[in-house]
Amino acid sequence: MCGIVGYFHETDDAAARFDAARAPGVLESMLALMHHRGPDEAGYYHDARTGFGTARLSIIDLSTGQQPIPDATKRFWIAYNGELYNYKELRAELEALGHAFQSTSDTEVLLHAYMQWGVDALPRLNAAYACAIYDRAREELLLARDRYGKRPLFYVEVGGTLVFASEMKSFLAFPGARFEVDEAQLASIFTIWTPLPHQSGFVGIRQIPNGWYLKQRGAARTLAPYTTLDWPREGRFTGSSAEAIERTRDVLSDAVRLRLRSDVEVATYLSGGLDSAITTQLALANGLSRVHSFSITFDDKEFDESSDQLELSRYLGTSHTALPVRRGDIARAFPAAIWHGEVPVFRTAFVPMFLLSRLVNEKGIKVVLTGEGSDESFLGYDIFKEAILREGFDPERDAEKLRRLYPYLPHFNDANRKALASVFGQFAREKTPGLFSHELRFHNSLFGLRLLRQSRDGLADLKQYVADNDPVFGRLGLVERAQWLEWKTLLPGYLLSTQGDRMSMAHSVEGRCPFLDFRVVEWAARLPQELKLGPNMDEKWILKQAFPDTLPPSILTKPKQPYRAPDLSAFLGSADADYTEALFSEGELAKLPFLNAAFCQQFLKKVRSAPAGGISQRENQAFILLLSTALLHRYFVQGEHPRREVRLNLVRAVDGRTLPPA
Amino acid sequence: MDDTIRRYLVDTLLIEFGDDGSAVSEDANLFESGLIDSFGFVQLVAFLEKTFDIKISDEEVLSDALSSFAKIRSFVEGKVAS
Repeated sequence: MCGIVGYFHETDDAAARFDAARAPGVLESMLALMHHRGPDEAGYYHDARTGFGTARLSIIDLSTGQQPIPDATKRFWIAYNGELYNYKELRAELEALGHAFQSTSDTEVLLHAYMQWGVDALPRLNAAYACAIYDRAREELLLARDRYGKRPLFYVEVGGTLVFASEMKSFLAFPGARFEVDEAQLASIFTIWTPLPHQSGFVGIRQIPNGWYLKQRGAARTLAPYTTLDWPREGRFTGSSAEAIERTRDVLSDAVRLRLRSDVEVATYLSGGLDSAITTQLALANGLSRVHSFSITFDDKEFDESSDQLELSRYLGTSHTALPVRRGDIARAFPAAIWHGEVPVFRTAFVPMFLLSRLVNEKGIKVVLTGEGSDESFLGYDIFKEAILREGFDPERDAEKLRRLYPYLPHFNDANRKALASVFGQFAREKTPGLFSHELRFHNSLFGLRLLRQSRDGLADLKQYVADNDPVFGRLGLVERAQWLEWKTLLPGYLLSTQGDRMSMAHSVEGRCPFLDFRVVEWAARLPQELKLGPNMDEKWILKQAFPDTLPPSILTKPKQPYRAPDLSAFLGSADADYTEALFSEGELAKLPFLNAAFCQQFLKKVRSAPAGGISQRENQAFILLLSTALLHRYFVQGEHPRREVRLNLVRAVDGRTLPPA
Repeated sequence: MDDTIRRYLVDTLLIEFGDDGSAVSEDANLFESGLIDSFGFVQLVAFLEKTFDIKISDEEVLSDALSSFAKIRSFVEGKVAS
């Protein structure tokens, strides 16, 4: 696991303006800002056209995997962040085609796969990755990212030069690059909670969308998907449920098996829920003799799952370490965590993950298995059930059904059922084409939008994005559309990024997600909805059938408890949140021209004086959105970011101009 | 009564009532405009019952009797008078 950086001059003018003698200094500064992603070693390549490099965390082929890696002729060079789980199989295939390898690393396999198949290699990869591959002969650069957004890759144009990096903070070290908040994107993020797959929240900075690649030769650019998220009508599974259950078990088991490939110890995160229990059990079944599991506990009982975690650890036989997190810990670590997160957030749950990866790192562990992707594939979220229940909802007739939804939200209780039914009744029919499943969620975001100066349609970007993705989206059913929205927003835009990759890599820990093996995702997409929800709207029904002994019965029968953490309550009146006083002072807020300063002050005054239990979910979200936006503005736009002196362990510095022509 | 309800809505929803640009009309549907959410609605019902010592039935909760400031005001007036 690593971080990559680089630039590519699209024109000779741009190349001439960039003094080539500066290349090593620029690349080293960019890599230094991402040292946390790859503290073991650093390396780069540069010539008159391009420069790119890697900060490397060594996990496979510790001794000879130094990057960037060339092929034997030194025509092709790769800088790579990620893991290629099926590298042994691909290597055998490539060797049969005549390719010779100099190392045992997965990176070299990816390079040769590209040399052999071009971009057609990308759908063959069972991987979590982002890469840059340069062809010296054609002076052509390829940037590509994995299917579901496990690893990041941002890019920006700076005066005719394409600049790219795993994390945006590296752009701070590129001459002429600047950060400006994109007001339209901010309104979209405040509404749908995350950037869309191509967005960053900043003007001009874009992501290579997950499942896409970018090819650049001179000024000519191709930006295209190599895979499409779909629930195709053809190829639906029509066999028995017994067959489906067995196949589900097999495909997941193999996904875990491939993710145990590592030259260092693999541990697991154990949340107390089904998904991480399955991955842990399968890790043991696939040959790990001993599993070290980690979890987060809260002193705040509303969020704590420690008793389930301990029971589960005993049941599975793991060696368990729990990290207790208090409210003050969240307030104190929030600024450092958001520096790593880089985009506005709507909840604090990523901060404990930041603290947890630090603990895992201190224990000397570099790789953990996690359960992300299960809820999206196997219908674990309440929003899927909500969509089914709310369609045609009749408050008189259907109020009782609300009992099944959101049991973890305090105000979703019996006493309030009629009032909630009344609200649901008003959202029983689609208002925004295609977005029915998420309309109530998005509607509640209208409150947060009031923090912004300009009044905008916060759904404008998403509506455009959905339109761009017709006809796939257009022919999906109700629940599939809800899934599609989760796969395009919350999963890549928050769970895998801010709460996932960015928090684990902040402390050089790599997360691996068996549920995001594309074979698992494609298999789940073929299964009928009845097998995912079962006969009684029971989330992830087929997983519970496939792994009946994975959880103790006491946990198996509990309603799903999503992972959450204290939000506003972590900051109110806490000495650990002192910094918010200054950050939210009139003078500081005035530096953020895109805010409605008067409303922000009114809002802050209200929540600060609210009685216990008097803060609504949307107020929690609005506060965290405001706090994260203000901190990010300070770090990236005002340039007052945390600096850490690091010493790169530079193991490779190649000046391509000294090599024979390719 | 008008003042009590108005103040409650102004303080909890962070709005001003009036006819100029940024203000909210007394007839505006508070749900459709996103000014109140399910949590806010639950709180509103509890506030009205407690403050005016009235009982709001399930049917009334399910009707649109509480969807705007003007409707809430006349609903409570009717309840208190009866």
